[in-house]
Amino acid sequence: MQCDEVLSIFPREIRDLIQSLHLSSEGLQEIRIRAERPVLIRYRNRELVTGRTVSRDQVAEILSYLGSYSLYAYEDEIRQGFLSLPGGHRVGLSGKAVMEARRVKTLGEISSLNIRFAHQIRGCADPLMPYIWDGVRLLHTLIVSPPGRGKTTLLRDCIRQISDGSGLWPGKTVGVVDERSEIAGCFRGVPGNDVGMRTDVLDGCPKADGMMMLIRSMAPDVVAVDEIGSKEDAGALRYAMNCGCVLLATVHGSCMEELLLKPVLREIIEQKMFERYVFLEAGKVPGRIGQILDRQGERVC
Amino acid sequence: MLKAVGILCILAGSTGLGMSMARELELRIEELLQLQKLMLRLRGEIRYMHRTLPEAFFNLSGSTSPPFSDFFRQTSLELQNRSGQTAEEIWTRNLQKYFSGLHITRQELTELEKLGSMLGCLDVEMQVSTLDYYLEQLRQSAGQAEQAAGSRRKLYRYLGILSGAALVVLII
Repeated sequence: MQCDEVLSIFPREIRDLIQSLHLSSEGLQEIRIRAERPVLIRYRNRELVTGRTVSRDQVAEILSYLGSYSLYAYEDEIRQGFLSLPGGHRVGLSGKAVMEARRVKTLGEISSLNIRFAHQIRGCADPLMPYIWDGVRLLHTLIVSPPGRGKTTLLRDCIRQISDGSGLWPGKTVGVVDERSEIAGCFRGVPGNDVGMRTDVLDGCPKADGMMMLIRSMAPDVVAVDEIGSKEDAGALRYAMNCGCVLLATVHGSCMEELLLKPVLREIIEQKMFERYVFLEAGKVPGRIGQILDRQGERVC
Repeated sequence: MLKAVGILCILAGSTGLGMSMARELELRIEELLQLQKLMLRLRGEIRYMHRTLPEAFFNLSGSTSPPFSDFFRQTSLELQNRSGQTAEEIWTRNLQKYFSGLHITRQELTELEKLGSMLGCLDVEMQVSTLDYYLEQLRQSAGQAEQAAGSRRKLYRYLGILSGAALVVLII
């Protein structure tokens, strides 16, 4: 999806305002809309404050467009606080939480929107690829980084390269459980991002259930998931591994010590389930690799 | 000779008028039944498939005939175009454009317009309840139309023939 198509979710006045700034789609990172506040745009890591204030009616109009006049069809996404757009772009939502039985039932009176533009970076996994293969065998790999450093971007490019294969490595069938539609950027079930020709995506499905479903139904060589952390995730990872699948996963964290503080991850690490731990570092390019450790915790890069 | 032809024309005309009025009663029933089928399908599209209104309307347009198909296709397209109008405005305008020639009553058309103001918002449960309520109204309307047609159908036909015959007697 091109940025112009994303802009079509805005009322004409806001659309004209953004177009008048002549921003390139590659540099556009975020557009923040808040009722009765000015539109803020994050562009090439800088914040642009526009003079245009957004009314409550305009926020409601954007929501109508976002949900194709059918917000009921996005109940689950709204409950989780986001909506997906074609191409993997996402809209974060904030408003009044409606509770039922101590759980968030939905968001009402939505007043803040954060439109985040996804940028697939092809080739960002090139430096990593030689380290996650042992001959023709792919290694179980966990990508670790704090939010915003490009874990998902790196995972997406790994999936694409593993799926398509290359002269050096054979293409493999990859099953992706994309719980928050961030990896493949599916819209109406079809991936908006290039995740490779041998990739099957289970979109919007909880990771633990999704991994089981994919293994039973699609027989993947590789299972890829984003942001693991729960006890159920660990059980499903173990199941996938016992079924002979190679695992590719990401997790929030900054170093091995931090991972060991989390009980579920500690168990996974101590059982030496993963053969490669890839730690990312801050940089201008998302997915910049800091260090790679093997299952013993020895540095390989 | 000329008189005989005139009498025949009067009789044929008045009988035709009676038949046509009886046919209109049947058309109203057919249209109400068609609306029932479409609303049941829309309910399924929303309840089980969680389809958005533009998608659901487009699917409905392929499963029915004009003017229903034209109405749903056009409404689907306009909703996708994000023209700045609300869903209710688009729904109401297209109802007036495509359904003005239908045989349903003014009251039934108003109920259909009201449905447009409720579609799209809140959650699936609310959408389904709204459609169930409208379906119940449709069932009642169809029942009333059936009853009315049962008694009036013959009346219109006989009235057509008899009024023609009465006119003929007067002319003679």
